[in-house]
Amino acid sequence: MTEKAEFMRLPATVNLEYKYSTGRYLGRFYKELRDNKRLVANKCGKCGRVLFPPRIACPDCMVRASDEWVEVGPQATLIFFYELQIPGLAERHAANYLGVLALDGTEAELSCFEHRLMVDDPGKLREGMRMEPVFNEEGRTGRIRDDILGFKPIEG
Amino acid sequence: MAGRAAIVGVGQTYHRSKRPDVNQIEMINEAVRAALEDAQLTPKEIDCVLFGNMEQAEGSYLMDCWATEGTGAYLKEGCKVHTGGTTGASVAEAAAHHAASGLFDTVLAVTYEKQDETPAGMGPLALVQDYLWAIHTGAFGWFARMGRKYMLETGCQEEHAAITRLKSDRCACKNPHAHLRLNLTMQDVLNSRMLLYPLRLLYMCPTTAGACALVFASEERAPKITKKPVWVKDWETVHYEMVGYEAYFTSRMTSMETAANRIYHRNGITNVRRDIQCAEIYEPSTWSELQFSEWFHFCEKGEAWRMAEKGVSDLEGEFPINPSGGVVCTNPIGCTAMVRVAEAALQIRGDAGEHQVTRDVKRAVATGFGGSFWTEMLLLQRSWD
Amino acid sequence: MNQRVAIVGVAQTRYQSSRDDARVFELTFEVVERLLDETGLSIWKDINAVVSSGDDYVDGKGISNDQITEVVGAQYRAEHKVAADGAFAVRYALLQVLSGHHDAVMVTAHCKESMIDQNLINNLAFDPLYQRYLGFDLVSAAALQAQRYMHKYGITPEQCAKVVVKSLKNAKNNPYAQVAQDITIEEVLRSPLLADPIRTLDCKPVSDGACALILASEQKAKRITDKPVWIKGIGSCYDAFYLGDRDLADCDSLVVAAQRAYKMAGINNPRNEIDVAEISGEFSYQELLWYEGLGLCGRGEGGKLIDQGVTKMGGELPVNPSGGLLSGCPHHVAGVARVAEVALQMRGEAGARQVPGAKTGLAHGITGPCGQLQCVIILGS
Repeated sequence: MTEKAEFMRLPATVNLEYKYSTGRYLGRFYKELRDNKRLVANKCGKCGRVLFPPRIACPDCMVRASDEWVEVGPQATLIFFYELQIPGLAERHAANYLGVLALDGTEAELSCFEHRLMVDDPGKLREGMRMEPVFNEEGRTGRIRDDILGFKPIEG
Repeated sequence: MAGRAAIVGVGQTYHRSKRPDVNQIEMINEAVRAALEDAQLTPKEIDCVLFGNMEQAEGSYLMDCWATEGTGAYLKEGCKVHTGGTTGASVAEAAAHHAASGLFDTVLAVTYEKQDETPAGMGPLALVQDYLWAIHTGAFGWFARMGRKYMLETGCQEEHAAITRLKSDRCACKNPHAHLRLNLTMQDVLNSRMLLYPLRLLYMCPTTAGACALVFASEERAPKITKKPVWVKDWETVHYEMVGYEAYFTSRMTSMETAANRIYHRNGITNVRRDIQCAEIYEPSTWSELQFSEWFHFCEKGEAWRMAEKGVSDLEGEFPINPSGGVVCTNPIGCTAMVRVAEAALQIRGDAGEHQVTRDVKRAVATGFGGSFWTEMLLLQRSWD
Repeated sequence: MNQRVAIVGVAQTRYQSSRDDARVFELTFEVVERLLDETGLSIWKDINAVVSSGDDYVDGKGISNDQITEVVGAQYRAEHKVAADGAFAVRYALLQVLSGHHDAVMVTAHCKESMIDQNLINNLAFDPLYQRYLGFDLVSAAALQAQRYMHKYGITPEQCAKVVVKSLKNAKNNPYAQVAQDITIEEVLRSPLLADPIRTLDCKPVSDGACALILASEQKAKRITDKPVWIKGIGSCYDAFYLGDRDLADCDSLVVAAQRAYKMAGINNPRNEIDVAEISGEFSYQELLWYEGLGLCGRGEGGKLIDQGVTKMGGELPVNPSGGLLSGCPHHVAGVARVAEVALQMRGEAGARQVPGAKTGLAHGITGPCGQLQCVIILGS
């Protein structure tokens, strides 16, 4: 008897809700961004590296970060950008263009991050161009992806 | 003095995009049985079972515990090791430590990923980002940037990536275990969908369901199990600070260069293409095969695309890279790095079949890639000395 | 073992019900910083590699160990994560030294159980095809095991409650403990029922914390400290996955793991030869069951052992002078902390919880529902 096997699949959703602590260091960043629209970083007391995002220890020196805090940005340099052509990605990130940005006062190679680009004419996007953040005004959380809606080119 | 360990059995499934005919345990068991058969060992003769997969990929916690049903770990020693994309190499390294420790004669290392049971593979990978930090597009953004930067810095054109991709496909077509075996033409590659310029769909690794198992044995036991033990001469793991913090592309030393420098230095490898005869590297995209080849010192800086153009990295070439077809053809994530080790071992044994390289492989490297731009490199040899 | 390997330093955080002030990997830095400070070792010059214990589900992050690279000195170096209890991280670190590839390896474990309802995660440890939809988690699985164990051997709820009373009393001597108090058997038996017969006080509490230690080869250990604590024996073992395939009243995998460790350490009569033990009982009944698996008494005699006071402080073989898991210690950290506590005992540095003259100790870790995966480590001064 050769009956064709039927292969079944069992659908399931794994739903996990976490509560993430921001801790002392990233927590200070969150508070400054939420309350004062200021972007801050801390520093390694040994090598002087600006730690952005702020954190407990310098990866290169493995010593506890100093108590020195600095303001960084809000202006930034666009390092790289791309159009989100993959189905679903544009919706997920609520943007058609994403950029890799380095805030002024941070070490680009160690502290750049991805964010939405807000541009009228994508054809004008250039690597190396100067950008500034557009802040979210309502329901601020301190989270960089929520409180900054995106980066736009600095006019002029 | 460092202890010695050898690979004495190699097994893998036929990697495919979907395996609806088996559940996870059954698929794991296919690779385990293949490895035991290759080593001519019974499950009873295994002392310890090490396991790994991409932890969140199939939605199961403590997967090694369920997997005992397929790995045969019941009443044996073992545990699970997980390091993201490098997991396959990490488990192989752990097995080598175990077999070299003097406490175990035989160690079974098992990894798998059944990506047809996860939503497009993107779900678990999205969780890799630091939840509290910025947006993160993950692998696509990385490898697009890698491609763009590589082209700008070396004068490489897109056709060279296409040439490299065709090489991978030719190899995969000779490897029955490979997942994507497409018989591609240049037009197929250059017309494939652009994901993020210059990363096309065909330059990116697929989502694969598959498993791989390796049997490791101690110095004393290995020659009694097989006439063709493959010695795990040395290994190196290099980690780097968290993804999303760092630019990914920096003027700093990469983990690939660091691992290669240390392995070559410790083992007296001065002319890489002479002293090593074959490489199975974890290249998550075709662009990374070019870039990584330079970081691993398989050629001079800026020369990898010329190497591809000249056919140096082909099966029949002077320095075959990924004769199995590599990761752009087969990518069961947590298992992928172990497939590299398995394929390198087969090349050394001369048992790779149709995709056996022309050159006599006495020594090969296998690498893993993952985490925050991490590398693990293993040096395999036909004889210890 | 082909060479001797020693623990040369340990550090723990205080265990707390919630550490809102720290991100999970910052707990790791706390203990690593202290460990380096106390041993005077350089992370770059003296430590070759790191083995961590953790899990993506528990940390709420894929490749969870990429968070700790920068707080354990793994920049451009090796760190491997054992996704099981911390005792297995100690085990892997030991093998990295025995293989001759490293001469000093740091072990770290961190966990913030307060981040998520642990039962949600533990449910995912059951297979999605048959068991998950039954609503299994560690507590309900433990209830099955407790029922079977108590039924088969006539273990009483009072005997289980005595474990809680002993643990929380011992914890009063442990500055790292989360819960320490004098309570009565009646109070334990009156605490709310979670899954019959498991009551709230029978369970380990939700806990946040971290622990780290350093293993070194004999040669290196002797340069670092004049009080090395030697690893004399080690054994691990998987039991069957499906609970129905096991007689839950007999912990076969622990019996095998213990025998392996005893054989390596040359121990013939564990009850006589071991001076102190730190074992991982997530639930009160487990401590009694693990006594049996470890061969500290015969099968079914766990209850008798606690009745006789053998395992209390001042008894013949004190178990969990620290208060154990019932006094608070998160998953993953638990196994490393058990080893760390025994190491402190071997060094005579356990303070008020010191067992006088302890020379041989046992540390134990478990992973999985009803202790599917077991690890036993024997230490000696």
